[in-house]
Amino acid sequence: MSCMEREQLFAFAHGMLDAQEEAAARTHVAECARCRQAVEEFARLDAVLEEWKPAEPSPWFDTRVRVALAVEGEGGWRKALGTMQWARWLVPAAAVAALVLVLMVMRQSTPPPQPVARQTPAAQETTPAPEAGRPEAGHESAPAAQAQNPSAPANPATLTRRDETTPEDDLKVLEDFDMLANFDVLSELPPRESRVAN
Amino acid sequence: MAIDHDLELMLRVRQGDAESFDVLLDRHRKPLVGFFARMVRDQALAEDLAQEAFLRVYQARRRYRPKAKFTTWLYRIATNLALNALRGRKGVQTVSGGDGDSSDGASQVERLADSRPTVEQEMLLSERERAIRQAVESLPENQRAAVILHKYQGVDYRQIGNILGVSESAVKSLLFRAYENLRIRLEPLLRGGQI
Repeated sequence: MSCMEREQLFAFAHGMLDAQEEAAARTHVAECARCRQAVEEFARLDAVLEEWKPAEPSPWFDTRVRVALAVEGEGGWRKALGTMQWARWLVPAAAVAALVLVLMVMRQSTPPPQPVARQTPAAQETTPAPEAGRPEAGHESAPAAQAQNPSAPANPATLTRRDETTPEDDLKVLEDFDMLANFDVLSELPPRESRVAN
Repeated sequence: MAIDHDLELMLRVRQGDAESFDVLLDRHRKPLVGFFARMVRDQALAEDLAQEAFLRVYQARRRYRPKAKFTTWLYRIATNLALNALRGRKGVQTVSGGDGDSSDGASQVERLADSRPTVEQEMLLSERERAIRQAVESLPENQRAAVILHKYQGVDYRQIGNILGVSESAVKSLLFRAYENLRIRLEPLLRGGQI
């Protein structure tokens, strides 16, 4: 009597054969010690594998799943939106609108460049006083007047007002350490030795 | 009967019954975490993957069609997640694969006449478990998934075919090769000895 193939014996041991095959295998195994031993070996392997116990879920597993489902529920409207055809253009359109808005805000917040006639202190000294009786040029008309007559002196009052409203980029005093030294309150204190003695 | 009950529950979930989903969660939480823990070994990752599997079931509730058993569908999702996770961390697993424990110590432990489990016996038991785990982990991915589904999750070989996307005869062959590999690797345990 020839033995059954091991794969057939394995299938028999695990109930993978159809009714007819199983009946034939059962008869054979009952008569063949070697095949019976092979089937018993598969059963022993099954028993050994049983020793590997399953891991237990942590107590907070359900909570985590429910939180994930809740988050999923909240995100549902976004997904529904994503399935709409027209919504595909919503994001790029919103991005363009935001960009235009930002550019408009930046444009409004940046002061327009002003044609300021800057005068050096030396120039101020040599600037003649305005003629008596001459009407003081208005704030808006001064540049135009100067443009018409570049050689005409600018109105000092106008220049002063312009200087006050000049943006910060005209102020370079923070880097002028010689100038800062003049405003250093510490320099007005008595020398260090005398301070320590006091 | 139980599988029919799962189908029924899932159909209720499809209609928006949240309580039925809770029942499904309760029924399959432990087997699913156990499946992932055996597949990827890492308990924290196993729980993350089990959570992801439940989330996918919930997300797909409206598309759910009861074509196969609920567990076939569930374990198909789970197996894909597990295999993706394994492929994602290949290399890391091989570095940390060994426990660094020698089996020599365990093999020298003498069995005492006293039937109460001693500390050494406890150690021996865990050593045996560790050997089984390592033997299963050493299997190729498909064989490992097939064995875990078949042996530990109680999934029918026909279902395993649907889960892995292979024919029934291919599953039989896959399982046979897997069990033969395990038999060779676990030879000392099968002979009734220690590792």
